[in-house]
Amino acid sequence: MRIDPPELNLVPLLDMVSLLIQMLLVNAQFGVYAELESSVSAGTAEATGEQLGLAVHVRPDGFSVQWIEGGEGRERSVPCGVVPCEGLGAWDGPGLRAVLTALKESRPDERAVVLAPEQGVPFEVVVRTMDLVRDDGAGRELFPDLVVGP
Amino acid sequence: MVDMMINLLLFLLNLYGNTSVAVVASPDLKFAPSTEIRPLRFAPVVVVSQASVQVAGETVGTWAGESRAPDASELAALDAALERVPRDEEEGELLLQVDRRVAWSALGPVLEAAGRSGFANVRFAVSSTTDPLAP
Repeated sequence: MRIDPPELNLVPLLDMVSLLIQMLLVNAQFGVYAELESSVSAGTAEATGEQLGLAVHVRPDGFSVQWIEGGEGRERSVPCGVVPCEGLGAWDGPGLRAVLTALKESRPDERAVVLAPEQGVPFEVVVRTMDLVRDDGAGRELFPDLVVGP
Repeated sequence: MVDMMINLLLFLLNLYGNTSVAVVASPDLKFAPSTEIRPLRFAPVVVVSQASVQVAGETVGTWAGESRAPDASELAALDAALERVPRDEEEGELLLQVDRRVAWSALGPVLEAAGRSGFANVRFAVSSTTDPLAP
Protein backbone atom coordinates (compact mmCIF):
# COMPACT_ATOMS: atom_id res chain seq x y z
CA MET A 1 0.00 0.00 0.00
CA ARG A 2 1.31 3.47 -0.97
CA ILE A 3 1.01 6.36 1.54
CA ASP A 4 0.94 9.92 0.13
CA PRO A 5 2.98 12.47 2.11
CA PRO A 6 0.78 15.00 3.95
CA GLU A 7 0.33 18.35 2.22
CA LEU A 8 1.72 21.38 3.96
CA ASN A 9 -1.00 23.92 4.78
CA LEU A 10 0.41 27.30 3.72
CA VAL A 11 -2.74 29.34 4.29
CA PRO A 12 -1.88 30.60 7.84
CA LEU A 13 1.63 31.50 6.69
CA LEU A 14 0.29 33.45 3.72
CA ASP A 15 -2.18 35.25 5.96
CA MET A 16 0.65 36.33 8.23
CA VAL A 17 2.88 37.42 5.34
CA SER A 18 0.09 39.47 3.76
CA LEU A 19 -0.59 41.21 7.07
CA LEU A 20 3.12 41.94 7.47
CA ILE A 21 3.26 43.36 3.94
CA GLN A 22 0.31 45.62 4.64
CA MET A 23 1.93 46.89 7.84
CA LEU A 24 5.25 47.57 6.10
CA LEU A 25 3.55 49.29 3.16
CA VAL A 26 1.72 51.63 5.53
CA ASN A 27 4.96 52.54 7.31
CA ALA A 28 7.22 52.57 4.25
CA GLN A 29 9.14 55.72 3.37
CA PHE A 30 9.77 55.95 -0.34
CA GLY A 31 11.19 59.48 -0.50
CA VAL A 32 14.92 60.05 -0.14
CA TYR A 33 15.57 62.30 2.81
CA ALA A 34 18.79 63.79 4.06
CA GLU A 35 19.93 66.20 6.74
CA LEU A 36 21.70 69.54 6.57
CA GLU A 37 23.74 70.28 9.66
CA SER A 38 24.30 73.74 11.04
CA SER A 39 24.99 75.59 14.25
CA VAL A 40 22.72 78.20 15.70
CA SER A 41 24.23 81.67 15.95
CA ALA A 42 23.84 83.36 19.32
CA GLY A 43 23.96 86.79 17.66
CA THR A 44 25.89 88.71 15.06
CA ALA A 45 29.18 87.00 14.31
CA GLU A 46 32.25 89.10 14.84
CA ALA A 47 35.46 88.34 13.04
CA THR A 48 38.65 88.53 15.04
CA GLY A 49 42.26 88.81 13.89
CA GLU A 50 42.76 87.40 10.44
CA GLN A 51 39.32 85.83 10.17
CA LEU A 52 37.25 86.50 7.08
CA GLY A 53 34.04 86.94 9.09
CA LEU A 54 31.98 85.86 6.11
CA ALA A 55 28.23 86.42 6.28
CA VAL A 56 25.61 85.83 3.61
CA HIS A 57 22.37 87.73 4.07
CA VAL A 58 19.39 86.21 2.30
CA ARG A 59 16.99 89.03 1.49
CA PRO A 60 13.65 89.13 -0.29
CA ASP A 61 15.41 91.00 -3.13
CA GLY A 62 18.58 88.89 -3.37
CA PHE A 63 21.81 88.02 -1.57
CA SER A 64 24.26 90.28 0.20
CA VAL A 65 27.76 89.00 1.04
CA GLN A 66 29.76 90.70 3.80
CA TRP A 67 33.33 90.00 4.88
CA ILE A 68 36.38 91.58 6.48
CA GLU A 69 39.39 92.44 4.35
CA GLY A 70 42.41 94.35 5.64
CA GLY A 71 40.51 95.25 8.78
CA GLU A 72 37.68 96.84 6.82
CA GLY A 73 34.19 95.57 6.16
CA ARG A 74 33.34 94.78 2.54
CA GLU A 75 29.99 94.04 0.97
CA ARG A 76 28.80 92.71 -2.39
CA SER A 77 25.17 92.52 -3.42
CA VAL A 78 23.85 89.76 -5.65
CA PRO A 79 20.34 90.91 -6.54
CA CYS A 80 17.63 88.83 -8.16
CA GLY A 81 17.09 89.33 -11.89
CA VAL A 82 13.53 90.46 -11.23
CA VAL A 83 12.55 92.14 -7.95
CA PRO A 84 10.78 90.97 -5.85
CA CYS A 85 12.23 87.48 -6.20
CA GLU A 86 9.60 84.84 -6.89
CA GLY A 87 10.34 81.13 -6.98
CA LEU A 88 13.39 79.20 -5.89
CA GLY A 89 15.37 79.94 -9.06
CA ALA A 90 14.89 83.71 -8.85
CA TRP A 91 17.76 84.19 -6.40
CA ASP A 92 21.02 84.41 -8.35
CA GLY A 93 22.78 81.21 -7.28
CA PRO A 94 25.59 81.34 -9.89
CA GLY A 95 26.26 84.99 -8.95
CA LEU A 96 26.56 84.11 -5.26
CA ARG A 97 28.83 81.17 -6.03
CA ALA A 98 31.09 83.40 -8.14
CA VAL A 99 31.58 85.83 -5.23
CA LEU A 100 32.19 82.99 -2.76
CA THR A 101 34.57 81.16 -5.11
CA ALA A 102 36.70 84.32 -5.43
CA LEU A 103 36.74 84.70 -1.63
CA LYS A 104 37.69 81.05 -1.19
CA GLU A 105 40.59 81.45 -3.60
CA SER A 106 41.93 84.38 -1.59
CA ARG A 107 41.36 82.61 1.78
CA PRO A 108 41.54 78.84 1.18
CA ASP A 109 41.73 78.00 4.91
CA GLU A 110 38.42 79.63 5.77
CA ARG A 111 35.51 77.24 6.23
CA ALA A 112 32.89 79.13 8.22
CA VAL A 113 29.98 81.20 6.97
CA VAL A 114 27.09 82.81 8.82
CA LEU A 115 23.75 82.71 7.04
CA ALA A 116 21.41 85.51 8.01
CA PRO A 117 18.00 85.13 6.36
CA GLU A 118 15.56 88.02 6.58
CA GLN A 119 11.94 87.88 7.67
CA GLY A 120 10.02 87.18 4.47
CA VAL A 121 12.40 84.63 2.97
CA PRO A 122 10.92 81.12 2.53
CA PHE A 123 12.77 78.21 4.15
CA GLU A 124 13.41 76.53 0.78
CA VAL A 125 15.51 79.54 -0.27
CA VAL A 126 17.57 79.23 2.92
CA VAL A 127 18.21 75.55 2.12
CA ARG A 128 19.14 76.48 -1.45
CA THR A 129 21.60 79.06 -0.06
CA MET A 130 23.10 76.41 2.25
CA ASP A 131 23.72 74.25 -0.85
CA LEU A 132 25.28 77.20 -2.70
CA VAL A 133 27.74 78.15 0.04
CA ARG A 134 28.90 74.59 0.81
CA ASP A 135 30.48 73.84 -2.58
CA ASP A 136 30.94 75.36 -6.02
CA GLY A 137 28.75 72.83 -7.81
CA ALA A 138 31.76 71.07 -9.33
CA GLY A 139 32.71 69.20 -6.18
CA ARG A 140 35.08 71.82 -4.77
CA GLU A 141 34.46 72.80 -1.18
CA LEU A 142 33.66 76.45 -0.41
CA PHE A 143 32.41 77.20 3.13
CA PRO A 144 30.95 74.02 4.63
CA ASP A 145 30.76 75.11 8.30
CA LEU A 146 27.33 76.71 8.46
CA VAL A 147 26.06 78.91 11.24
CA VAL A 148 22.45 80.03 10.88
CA GLY A 149 21.45 83.28 12.47
CA PRO A 150 17.92 83.34 13.86
CA MET B 1 2.23 34.14 -6.10
CA VAL B 2 4.02 33.08 -2.93
CA ASP B 3 7.40 33.91 -4.47
CA MET B 4 6.14 37.38 -5.38
CA MET B 5 4.90 37.99 -1.86
CA ILE B 6 8.18 36.84 -0.35
CA ASN B 7 10.11 39.18 -2.69
CA LEU B 8 7.86 42.09 -1.75
CA LEU B 9 8.27 41.26 1.92
CA LEU B 10 12.07 41.18 1.63
CA PHE B 11 12.07 44.51 -0.23
CA LEU B 12 9.91 46.18 2.40
CA LEU B 13 11.91 44.71 5.27
CA ASN B 14 15.09 46.04 3.66
CA LEU B 15 13.50 49.48 3.22
CA TYR B 16 12.34 49.44 6.82
CA GLY B 17 15.77 48.40 8.09
CA ASN B 18 17.52 51.23 6.25
CA THR B 19 15.27 53.94 7.65
CA SER B 20 16.59 55.19 10.97
CA VAL B 21 14.24 58.17 11.37
CA ALA B 22 10.56 58.30 10.59
CA VAL B 23 9.90 61.21 8.25
CA VAL B 24 6.41 61.57 6.89
CA ALA B 25 5.74 64.23 4.28
CA SER B 26 2.20 65.55 4.00
CA PRO B 27 0.40 68.42 2.26
CA ASP B 28 1.28 70.56 5.30
CA LEU B 29 4.89 69.40 5.45
CA LYS B 30 6.73 69.43 2.14
CA PHE B 31 10.49 69.19 2.48
CA ALA B 32 12.84 71.64 0.79
CA PRO B 33 14.99 70.15 -1.99
CA SER B 34 18.74 69.96 -1.42
CA THR B 35 21.81 68.33 -2.94
CA GLU B 36 22.77 67.04 0.52
CA ILE B 37 22.94 63.24 0.76
CA ARG B 38 23.85 62.57 4.41
CA PRO B 39 21.17 60.25 5.80
CA LEU B 40 18.97 61.37 8.65
CA ARG B 41 20.12 60.46 12.15
CA PHE B 42 17.98 60.19 15.21
CA ALA B 43 17.43 63.31 17.33
CA PRO B 44 14.47 64.91 19.09
CA VAL B 45 12.18 66.24 16.36
CA VAL B 46 10.72 69.72 16.00
CA VAL B 47 8.12 69.96 13.23
CA VAL B 48 7.34 73.38 11.74
CA SER B 49 4.55 72.75 9.26
CA GLN B 50 1.67 74.73 7.77
CA ALA B 51 -0.67 73.05 10.26
CA SER B 52 1.26 73.33 13.53
CA VAL B 53 4.55 73.66 15.36
CA GLN B 54 5.36 70.54 17.38
CA VAL B 55 8.18 69.76 19.78
CA ALA B 56 8.68 66.03 20.29
CA GLY B 57 5.05 65.41 19.31
CA GLU B 58 3.60 68.18 21.49
CA THR B 59 1.79 70.99 19.64
CA VAL B 60 2.87 74.43 20.83
CA GLY B 61 1.26 76.70 18.23
CA THR B 62 0.10 77.28 14.67
CA TRP B 63 1.97 80.46 13.72
CA ALA B 64 4.03 78.98 10.87
CA GLY B 65 0.98 78.41 8.67
CA GLU B 66 -0.06 82.01 9.29
CA SER B 67 3.40 83.33 8.22
CA ARG B 68 3.91 85.30 11.40
CA ALA B 69 6.21 85.28 14.40
CA PRO B 70 4.93 83.52 17.54
CA ASP B 71 3.28 85.67 20.21
CA ALA B 72 4.42 85.74 23.84
CA SER B 73 2.24 82.82 24.98
CA GLU B 74 3.31 80.66 22.04
CA LEU B 75 6.98 81.47 22.72
CA ALA B 76 6.52 80.52 26.38
CA ALA B 77 4.93 77.21 25.33
CA LEU B 78 7.79 76.61 22.87
CA ASP B 79 10.44 77.31 25.52
CA ALA B 80 8.68 75.05 28.04
CA ALA B 81 8.36 72.20 25.53
CA LEU B 82 12.04 72.48 24.53
CA GLU B 83 13.08 72.37 28.19
CA ARG B 84 11.24 69.05 28.54
CA VAL B 85 13.07 67.48 25.59
CA PRO B 86 15.49 64.85 26.87
CA ARG B 87 19.08 65.26 25.76
CA ASP B 88 22.10 63.03 26.10
CA GLU B 89 24.82 65.61 26.04
CA GLU B 90 25.45 69.06 27.45
CA GLU B 91 24.81 70.62 24.05
CA GLY B 92 21.91 68.80 22.47
CA GLU B 93 20.91 68.44 18.85
CA LEU B 94 17.52 68.83 17.25
CA LEU B 95 16.16 67.51 13.98
CA LEU B 96 13.98 70.18 12.40
CA GLN B 97 11.35 69.07 9.91
CA VAL B 98 10.34 72.33 8.29
CA ASP B 99 7.84 72.91 5.50
CA ARG B 100 9.59 74.46 2.49
CA ARG B 101 7.09 77.38 2.31
CA VAL B 102 7.51 78.51 5.93
CA ALA B 103 8.78 82.10 6.14
CA TRP B 104 11.90 82.85 8.15
CA SER B 105 9.85 85.14 10.40
CA ALA B 106 8.12 81.99 11.71
CA LEU B 107 11.22 79.77 11.86
CA GLY B 108 13.80 82.21 13.24
CA PRO B 109 12.15 82.39 16.70
CA VAL B 110 12.17 78.56 16.86
CA LEU B 111 15.95 78.56 16.33
CA GLU B 112 16.37 81.31 18.91
CA ALA B 113 14.36 79.27 21.41
CA ALA B 114 16.43 76.19 20.61
CA GLY B 115 19.62 78.17 21.29
CA ARG B 116 18.21 79.43 24.60
CA SER B 117 17.37 75.86 25.63
CA GLY B 118 20.92 74.67 24.95
CA PHE B 119 20.47 73.14 21.49
CA ALA B 120 23.47 74.68 19.77
CA ASN B 121 23.30 72.38 16.74
CA VAL B 122 20.32 71.80 14.53
CA ARG B 123 19.85 69.50 11.58
CA PHE B 124 17.29 70.28 8.90
CA ALA B 125 15.50 67.41 7.19
CA VAL B 126 15.54 67.96 3.42
CA SER B 127 14.47 66.08 0.34
CA SER B 128 17.61 64.86 -1.38
CA THR B 129 17.77 65.63 -5.09
CA THR B 130 20.39 66.21 -7.77
CA ASP B 131 18.58 69.27 -9.12
CA PRO B 132 16.99 71.44 -6.43
CA LEU B 133 15.56 73.81 -9.04
CA ALA B 134 13.52 71.07 -10.71
CA PRO B 135 9.78 71.58 -10.10
